[in-house]
Amino acid sequence: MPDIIIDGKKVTFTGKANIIEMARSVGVEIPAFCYHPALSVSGNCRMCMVEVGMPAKDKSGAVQKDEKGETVISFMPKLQPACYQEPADGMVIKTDSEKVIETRKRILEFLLINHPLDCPVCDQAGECVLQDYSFQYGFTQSRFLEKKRTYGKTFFSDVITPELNRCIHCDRCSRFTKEIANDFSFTRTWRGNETELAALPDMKIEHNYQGNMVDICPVGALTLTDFRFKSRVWFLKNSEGICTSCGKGCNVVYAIDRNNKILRIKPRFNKNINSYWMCDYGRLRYPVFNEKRLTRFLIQGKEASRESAVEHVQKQITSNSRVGIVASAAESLEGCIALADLAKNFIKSEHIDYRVHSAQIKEDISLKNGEVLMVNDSYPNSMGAKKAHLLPGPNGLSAEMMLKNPEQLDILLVVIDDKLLENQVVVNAIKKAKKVILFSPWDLEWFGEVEAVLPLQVSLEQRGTFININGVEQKFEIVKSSEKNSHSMIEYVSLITQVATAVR
Amino acid sequence: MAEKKIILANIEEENSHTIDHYIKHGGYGALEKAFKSMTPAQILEEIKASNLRGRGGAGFPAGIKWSFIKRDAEGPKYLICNADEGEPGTFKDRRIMMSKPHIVLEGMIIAAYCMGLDAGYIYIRGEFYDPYLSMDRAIEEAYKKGFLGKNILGTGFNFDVYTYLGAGAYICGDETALMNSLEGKRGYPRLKPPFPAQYGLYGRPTTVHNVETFSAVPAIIENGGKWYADLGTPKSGGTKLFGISGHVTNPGVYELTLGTSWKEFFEDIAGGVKGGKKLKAIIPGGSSTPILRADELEGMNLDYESIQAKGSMMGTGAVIVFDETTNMVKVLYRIMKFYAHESCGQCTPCREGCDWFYDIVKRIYHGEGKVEDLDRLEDLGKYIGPNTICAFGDAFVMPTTALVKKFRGEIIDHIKKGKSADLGKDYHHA
Repeated sequence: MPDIIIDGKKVTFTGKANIIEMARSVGVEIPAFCYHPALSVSGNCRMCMVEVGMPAKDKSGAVQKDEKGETVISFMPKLQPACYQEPADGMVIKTDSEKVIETRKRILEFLLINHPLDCPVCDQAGECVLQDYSFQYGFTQSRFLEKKRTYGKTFFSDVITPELNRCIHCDRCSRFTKEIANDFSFTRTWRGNETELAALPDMKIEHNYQGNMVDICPVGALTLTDFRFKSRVWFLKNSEGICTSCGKGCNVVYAIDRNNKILRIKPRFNKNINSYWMCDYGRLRYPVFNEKRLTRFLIQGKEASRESAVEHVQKQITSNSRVGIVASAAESLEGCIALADLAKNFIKSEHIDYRVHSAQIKEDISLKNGEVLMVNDSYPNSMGAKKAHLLPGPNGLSAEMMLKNPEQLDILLVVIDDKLLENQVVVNAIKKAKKVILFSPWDLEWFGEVEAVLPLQVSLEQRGTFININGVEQKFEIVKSSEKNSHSMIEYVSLITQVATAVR
Repeated sequence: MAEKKIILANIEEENSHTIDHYIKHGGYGALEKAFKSMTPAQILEEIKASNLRGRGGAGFPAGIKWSFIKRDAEGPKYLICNADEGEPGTFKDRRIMMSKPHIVLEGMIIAAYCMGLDAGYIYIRGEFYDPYLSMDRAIEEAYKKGFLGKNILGTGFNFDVYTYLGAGAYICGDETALMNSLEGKRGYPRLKPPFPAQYGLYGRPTTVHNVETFSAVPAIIENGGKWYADLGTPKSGGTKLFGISGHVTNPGVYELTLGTSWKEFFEDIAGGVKGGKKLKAIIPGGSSTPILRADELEGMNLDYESIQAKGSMMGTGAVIVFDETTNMVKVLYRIMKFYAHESCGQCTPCREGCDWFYDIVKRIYHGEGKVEDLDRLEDLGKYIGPNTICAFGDAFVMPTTALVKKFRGEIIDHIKKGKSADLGKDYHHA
């Protein structure tokens, strides 16, 4: 097997990665700004320069040995970019030699001379690669006496707020637009020290993946307009989760502030689903989980205790013969199974369906590799709901039929989700039913008119499983603590069935 | 060893740019010889024997470059003529393209035949509009005579040549930036390796040569590689064009055998310093080569090795002469102004370092410098040159640090005088 020595450690490698990746795999961090594993190698930041040597060979091609019998290594006179250099058998790499350390210092100095150093007012501070590297590898003082380069205000996107004075010209963003988002409206313009990022004249970036440009920007040159000045990043708690905005199930990180509100969503690497990316639609939909949350139980518009509300619901669904259930594919697989169980074994109703024809999102323009991150399925767990068999029985009514003619049912049980509320036709149909019992995470004005409302947790407040549109099962943990009084579907099902046992 | 006109032969005559004039003086004879009586391997042998080195600045042996291309490899292979003559002080290629464009074409066709290339591109500097027209006219004539196109001279060999006018960026003189520009991309130099011989224009094997290198090929084929090699020194074969400008009596382009002594060239051929003044310094090969003081020129010959021994480079053979009245701070300022404007901005050390250099030099020039600034320049330079993607970093660090080193006293005097320093009548505030 070919092997290589990094900082004295012997590494056996397979495949033709680059030195950065190989070093990373054995715990040697080589700093780099422009290198991104999903983008083409640009090699422009020159931060990852390392010393590279190969065994010296004499004219006959034999490896030379010194007096002690050790292989003589001839190092290249110049440092080599680790992002670009392919490893070769017998290669010796030094990432901590004096020459490398000094060069890193100088490269950082070059990057910082024109950087405004406005960290106190920069949103990136705290998660800024330039900040981290300067601290770790840089000079403590600047020797630059000249005027800094400045750019005028510029605009090229509704999603991104640029602050180009902070730009270090790593070119990650424009490589992303070209290579991943397949969009050619954004590039570097001018030349040399005046190089400036810009959209083409009279154009702006319009693709649905712009948030990723902010994520991969190592500095605060591109910031998310939505997140701007909302919070310092070190006050946020990051929780790993799954995006719930469509059936793709992108892996994400939710940032939660001290008031238990989600402030932003960032993608998390998963090579099978979303790679490093996510769409702007999913990224910017988080406010629905923060706003207008329901925190009380309602019986005919009046606030009630949990016990009385659950008892009321139990009474209603057992005393009426025709009960229809509109389920939701926004629930976890476990929630769906519990609800299916409630319908089948307790209510004994065949009228249950998750296929609410709510606003379907359009499939997005594909990425360059032909993949889409925003799929033609509004719900994160349609496959799970199907697996839990949240479907009408042989004589049951489909959701479409239930909502078309709600009066035919004595009582309509609806699991409210964000996508359902976007469809006014469905909401109006629900209002028309004789009696309505709602499980809802949101508090809406018309809840005074319905029979009973129980506050429901959103999936981010539970642990569970989603099955994405391609059938990939993904478990998720609790992302944020739940709102006051709200419960999961599983809890409601067990409460309702237990109350029933007690009454009987 | 002295002036020997091979490329420049008959160039002063009227209509020297036409194909009729060129053929009348033996033009395209080498092409016929190569096509009819030589195999590609024989041509390559002659080029190797000729010791011809690249005339674009780096001086890479042409024979070795040609041997990189696998003649029988499948798929298209390209030839590029680098006519992006942007190095300050250089004007030799323009002379050839304006007055003897066919010698370039002939060299290109022979090279293409030798390496089995399918198409040639002449990338011409954006400011060279007249040479561009001249080359276009020549290509048209060559097509009419059957030297270009399909089945050249009945050998079944096909070769097409296209001209391409650049947009005026110095960096596109770098062969990889040139190829990016030719492909319609930003003129950014590529990361190397792979070199053009493996991955060049449109990702295909490509050979890139300077205009002057191609122009030397016909004579080599006609007279043999050994004849050409014997013209020069053992290591640098043949003749080289030298464009001399600045404070010199007879500025212009001269063709000299390599190894001609500097004294002979400057005193006898170029007529010495203009106006009888004393020589202060020269830049021997275009603005990116280190400056040489007059006292360093003693015993120097004009060939790659001799100039290198003096601590400078042959470069493009563009000699810039400074007489004793020259303000070296101004030279430094003017050189840096050019490079700060021309840095492509791709990689960090050059983009940031070049402008930092310029800012410091500008401050010194305007009388606001400090003595420590000179050490700063030297110190910064050490980390720019070796860490850039292309040779541009070295191209501005080498001449500026050499200037600072060799004229340190004069620059310190200037700094000490501050605002009262004499900046000459054409001082500009930029």
